[in-house]
Amino acid sequence: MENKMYSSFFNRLVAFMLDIFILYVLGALVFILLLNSSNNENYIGNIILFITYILLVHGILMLFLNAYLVSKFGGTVGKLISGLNIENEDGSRLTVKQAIFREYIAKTVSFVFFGLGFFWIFKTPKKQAWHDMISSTVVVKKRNIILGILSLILLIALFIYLSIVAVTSASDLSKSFNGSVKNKVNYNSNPFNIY
Amino acid sequence: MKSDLGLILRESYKITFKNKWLWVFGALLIGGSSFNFFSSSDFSKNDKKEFKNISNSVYDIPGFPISKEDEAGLKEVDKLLSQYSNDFKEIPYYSGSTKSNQNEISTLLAITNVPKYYWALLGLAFLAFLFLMVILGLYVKSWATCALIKGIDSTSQNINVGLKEMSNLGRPHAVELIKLNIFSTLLAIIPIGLSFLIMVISFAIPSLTVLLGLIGFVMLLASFVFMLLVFAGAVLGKISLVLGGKKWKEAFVDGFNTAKKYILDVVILGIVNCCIGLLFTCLSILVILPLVIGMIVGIMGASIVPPLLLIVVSIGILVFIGIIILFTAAGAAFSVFKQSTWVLLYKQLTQPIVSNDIKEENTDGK
Repeated sequence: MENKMYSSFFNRLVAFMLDIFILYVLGALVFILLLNSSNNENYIGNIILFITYILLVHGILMLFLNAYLVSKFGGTVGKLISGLNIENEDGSRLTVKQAIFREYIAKTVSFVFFGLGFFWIFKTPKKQAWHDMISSTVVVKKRNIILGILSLILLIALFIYLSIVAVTSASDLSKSFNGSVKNKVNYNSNPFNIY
Repeated sequence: MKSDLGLILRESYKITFKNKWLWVFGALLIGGSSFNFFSSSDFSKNDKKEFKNISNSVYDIPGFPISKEDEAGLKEVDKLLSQYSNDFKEIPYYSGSTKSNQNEISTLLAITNVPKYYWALLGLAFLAFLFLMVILGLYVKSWATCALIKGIDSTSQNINVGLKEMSNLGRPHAVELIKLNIFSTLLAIIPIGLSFLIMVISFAIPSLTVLLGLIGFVMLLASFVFMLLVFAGAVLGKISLVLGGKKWKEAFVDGFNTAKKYILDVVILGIVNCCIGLLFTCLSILVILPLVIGMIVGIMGASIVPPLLLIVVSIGILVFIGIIILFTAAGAAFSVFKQSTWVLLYKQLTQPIVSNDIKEENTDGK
């Protein structure tokens, strides 16, 4: 029988953080792109586009993409970079249906009681959280986590840098916008306000 | 009365504390109500109010909106009066008013500049997201209900089941339960809606106001009784669906007929559960209130000495988290207890149930 190395809580946390920061960095990039293409007149339009992007990509597309990745390659991007694989207890790959159930239905169970279900990883021999137990899956460690940790550090740094860029761009846009509107208001309303 | 209420309550209490895994699904059922995206909040109301203010005040601003001809004329006027206008800026009241108007105009200008298809795209994305979340929410709630019913049934028969077993036993019935829930909700609401419609129509036809109003009122009362029966039928139907492995239609008919036949048992258990829920809420308030008051007094007292404040706030946060965990657990336990009472009632009404105590006594006797 094959000896499996089950993934620890820490490794899974790194993979989870990677997934989160990949989305954050993508979001920040889109935000900056929209900010840079904004002028005084279309900035609300760009905010609407950004919210639409969040709803469509982060809210809907990622749900199906993650399920597809789990069933096709054995894990989300974060898990694959960290060298972790999600598989059935018998070692087979999950189907898309199983993956959706694990990621979006069963995980709600682990989140109740302030995420108590995730701490079950410390307790069970196969290092299964509640959602793993429910969906009869295990997370197996295929290689060293170091690439995952390095990627996470890089992504966090990139996110911080992008956040600074975004704040600076937003501040510049706000200044130019206020200046332009101030001129317009003075120009349009002063003659009438005098009388 | 066919059911033994005392036995049901005793057994339910035992089941609740016998298998703690049931609490996990119980907690999910408390959270099920949070999958509601239709509740109006103060935030949205304030937003609307603010928007209304903006749109009104923009039209109060003189010279807005202006045509191109006006603009050319204004350039001339502006040249002449620029000196005066600069003087006016020095007056505090005037500056404040301009600043406020600037913000209002800027928002309105930016909103009016947004292409219509951007709004359409946002609306579609929001609807799609909402649809997905509602579907997921409905599925989670139904799945948790099915798993809980199966878990309670197994525990009542002294079979120890874990999360995996409960989930696997409940999952095949989740979709049927969604159908049953939607059907029973519609069935309960439609007669009430019709009654209201008749009452509204009665006002439109003066000659028939009294007659139609009376019919509408009687229908409304009957609809409420019918709604009660439908909900009772749905509660028992759910159990029939999960335990009997029936289709939603068959299960609803079975539940409805059982509720109709033993309406007294069902109503009494419903009232008892309501009373226990009320007691639970009162107890929660009694526990939370002194803690909250203590925390506020503690923070106020400690604010005199800054280092102490940090400690008190940290303790306060921990106590707050503790309270939430405690009440989630208590809510989950109550949820399991309530579901257990219904499962045991259904089993007593449809088949005689033997208490575990009696079972043990019989085993000892043998």
